[in-house]
Amino acid sequence: MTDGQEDGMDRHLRAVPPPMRPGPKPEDDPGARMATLLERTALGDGAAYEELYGLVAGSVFGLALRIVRDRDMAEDVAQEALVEVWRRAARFDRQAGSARAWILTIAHRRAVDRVRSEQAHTTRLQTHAAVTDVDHEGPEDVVDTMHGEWQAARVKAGLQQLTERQREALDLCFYKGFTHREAAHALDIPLGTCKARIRDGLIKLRDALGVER
Amino acid sequence: MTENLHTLAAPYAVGALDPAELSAFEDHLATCADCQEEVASLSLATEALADSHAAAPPPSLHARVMDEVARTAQLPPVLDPAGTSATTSKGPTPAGPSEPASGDADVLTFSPAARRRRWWIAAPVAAAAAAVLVVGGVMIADVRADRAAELAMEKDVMSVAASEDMEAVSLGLGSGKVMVSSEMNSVALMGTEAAMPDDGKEYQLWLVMADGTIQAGPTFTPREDGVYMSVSEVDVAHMAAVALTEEPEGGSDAPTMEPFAVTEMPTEA
Repeated sequence: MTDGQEDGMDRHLRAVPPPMRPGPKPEDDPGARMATLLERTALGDGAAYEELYGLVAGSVFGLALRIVRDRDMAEDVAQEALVEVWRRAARFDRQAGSARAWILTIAHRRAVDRVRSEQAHTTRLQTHAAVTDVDHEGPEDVVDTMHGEWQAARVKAGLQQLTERQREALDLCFYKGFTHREAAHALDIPLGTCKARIRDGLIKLRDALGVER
Repeated sequence: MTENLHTLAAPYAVGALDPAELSAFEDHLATCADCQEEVASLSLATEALADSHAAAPPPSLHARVMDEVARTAQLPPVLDPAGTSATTSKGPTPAGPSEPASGDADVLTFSPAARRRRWWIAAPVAAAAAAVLVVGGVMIADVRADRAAELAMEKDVMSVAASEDMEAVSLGLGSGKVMVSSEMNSVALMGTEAAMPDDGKEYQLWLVMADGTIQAGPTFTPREDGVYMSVSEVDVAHMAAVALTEEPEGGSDAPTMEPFAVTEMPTEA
């Protein structure tokens, strides 16, 4: 295991920047590396999990914080999500998507569950201010890695390609835990319009980011 | 709803479906290549959204996580490989309609709620199958039976959740809620993060009526991971509150302890 660990550290250091490197070799690809760590975690490999933690804890905590807006609560949510990653690692399938997406899905769901249970939906509807922008620079959003910095910058730029209305719909649903029905109600638009804004916004963001599978 | 299912792909990708829609959409997704493609494509954007807020976690988080991980057992892999590709984007090989989803529990589309729902196991219904699993080892047939029971209960719970007159109140057990429908004369509950009841006990819901009488509601036991779900057909007219107790397995006719959670209904039905 020692060999694997050292190998892993090395990879980690090299794997973070530069983000735009075209066509990384499979063994250098941070995504593949992370998938391997997750698969080793599934076998009970604590060292692999530890390394994985180092790669994702900032993203998981940051996402939780963005959604629940409270550091203590975000720490609880991040803890739940990261333990769930450990527990369910065997269910990860690299053929079906990236390890990072898999982990962030867990974190997002936990965070949304938390805001939904913390606030009755009527409260969430009432507290929704007239217009909500996707505020990408909350006071707590302290970026801690180059990976994070890069991601934040490119997503922020990508979001600029969206219309205000598309950003607003995405913000309510993705970051505030609204269902699309609640968002339609809060925005006082027909449900179909709301769904279209979410979809068009995601497509525009995806295209702006130039991400491919 | 059927003709609209395709339009739920985007709300699904951002985790914005309510439970009834989620259930309907996931069943649809298992067999719809177009929606699989759409969800996979949109999730490229949601992954980026999710990953654009990295922040330095509190130093205490590491120790908390490692401590809990050391005490946490891991789930075994999913058993039915035939189902694992059912809702991915990689090709037109959906699972046959006769085995809807036993293997796709962890499809990697970016859909927060979807993943949770796969882990709703209908504990009371599935208890027998679970026992077989423990005694006889993990067999695919058992997993399918388990999944069938899970689906059956989910379907009932979702139909209560989707009923026109559904009212929901939170349930003081982990993070969960009770949903009541007069139209369906049913009460359903679901939640997460529940503590396990004492050995030999299970939870039981009680309906406190406006006149002070108490009706027995469904019993249930959370899964090991704290998720729970149950549904029961009861007369919900004039119900004023719900209460929760622990009762001996099988439930009781009347509560045997002071309830540890009581939630009033918002208005009398």
